[in-house]
Amino acid sequence: MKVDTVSCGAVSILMPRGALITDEVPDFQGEVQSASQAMGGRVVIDMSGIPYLDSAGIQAVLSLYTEPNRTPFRPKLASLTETCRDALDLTNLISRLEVFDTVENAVRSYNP
Amino acid sequence: MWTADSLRGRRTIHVIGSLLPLIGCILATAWAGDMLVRTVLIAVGVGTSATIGLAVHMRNDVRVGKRETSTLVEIPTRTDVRDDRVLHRMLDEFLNWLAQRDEDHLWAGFDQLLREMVAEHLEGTPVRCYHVVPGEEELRSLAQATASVTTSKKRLLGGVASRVVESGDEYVADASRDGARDAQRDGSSEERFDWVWPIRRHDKTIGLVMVGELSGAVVREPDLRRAVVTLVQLMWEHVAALEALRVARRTDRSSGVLNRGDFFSVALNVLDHAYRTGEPVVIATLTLEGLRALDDYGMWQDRDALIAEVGATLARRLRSDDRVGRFSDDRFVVLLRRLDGDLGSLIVGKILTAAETYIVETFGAHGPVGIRAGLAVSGKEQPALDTLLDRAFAAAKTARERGKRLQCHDQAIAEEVGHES
Repeated sequence: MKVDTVSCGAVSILMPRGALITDEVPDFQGEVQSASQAMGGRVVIDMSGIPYLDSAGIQAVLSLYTEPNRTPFRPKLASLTETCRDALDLTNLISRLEVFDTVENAVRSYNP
Repeated sequence: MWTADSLRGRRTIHVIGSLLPLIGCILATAWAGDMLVRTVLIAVGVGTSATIGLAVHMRNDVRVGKRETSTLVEIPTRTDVRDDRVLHRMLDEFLNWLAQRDEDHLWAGFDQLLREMVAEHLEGTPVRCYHVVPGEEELRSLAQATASVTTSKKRLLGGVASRVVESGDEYVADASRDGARDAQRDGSSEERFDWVWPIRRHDKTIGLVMVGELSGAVVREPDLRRAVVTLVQLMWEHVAALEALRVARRTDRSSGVLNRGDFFSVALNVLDHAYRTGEPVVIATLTLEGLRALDDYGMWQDRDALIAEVGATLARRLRSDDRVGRFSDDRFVVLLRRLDGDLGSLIVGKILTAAETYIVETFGAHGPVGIRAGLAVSGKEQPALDTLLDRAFAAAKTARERGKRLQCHDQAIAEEVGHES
């Protein structure tokens, strides 16, 4: 999985490209973890480049919020595609995640 | 705005409610022997709540029809032979397009036709055509409307588009400032538009046509623009009626979902696209058990209501790019895109729960009717549709044998292997 990274002040914006499925989960998790450690957890994942995810992908996203937190902040999700949003809705997980309509809103949420 | 008095001495085009559909007659006559077109034209008239008549008024305010019955717009036009030629050519091209239309891509074809007509006859380019969906913040491209495999191509509703949709009035760039017209930017993009007009139905905007750069001559010709708008409005309604007929033909009457033949044709397209892009697909079969018992007890109405309810549940619960068809009297087939077996099982499980709730409420917890599902997953193997269907039916059979409500083909095999070892 190709993941582009852009810094926006104290926040790192990750832009993964491609489906978040079993084979791609390790790459995704690795990128998020390293960005998260570097930025103290201030990471926004721009999901607009992820056309769909499978159950392993959902598990990977969920683990961002359920695994022990070693940083002061948690990553935030932005710009989910319709299919990804449907999948998270169906699994009743979307309420457990921090999801924003736009990357800008997600970045802003770190600086209230 | 203009009044009836202001029209005196002009040649006018009237769109008159409750009159004979002259344009319908023209089209129907031109398309000799095609009953479908006649039916569609009548449907267009009915669909717009009045029989639409297009009467071309000749000089000196000679009127066709009663003034009191006019319910739609009244459009003045200049006595310009060029205008007539433009309208005539557009109508001719529309008739030719109708004769060769691709039933599966009606809106996409109409989109292309419209763009070509505006570019050629009005020197307007680029042209963007959209459906306006009530309550949605986005406009939907016509080109994507009937594609069997859709990719999202939408425009945010904002700026000049938003104003035209809400007001129902056209927007035209300021023609007085020749050479530097005051074209408006669309709120959601950097595109500028000289001309934006709405397609209206029952006082609501259902479509939008946006023209980037328009010939200065046309900008200064309100009568020609209004005539074109009216003509395109009629064409639009005609295409909408054709699309409604197409959908009606493909739909199973009892359940409201695709009939078997059309499900296969749609599903093959979706599967082909999914395999080319490497997307996973799940096929699920839902089997209603005990329908024969309802027949035997004379509960035909309950039986039909059950089938209608399952069809409605499927339509309600599935996502927009999933496909569902009625395979046989008691079996439904569902194609779920971009899902693996686990997520597919979750969706189908929720559908089963909804259907079971209805069954229990109607026939009781221990009634004669039940519902079961079998799933097959494409995975990396990418099997043919027939193979996936066979596997899904086999899984449903296994579910029945094991007293389960839902069974995935892969799991069934894994369990069998585990059992044998």
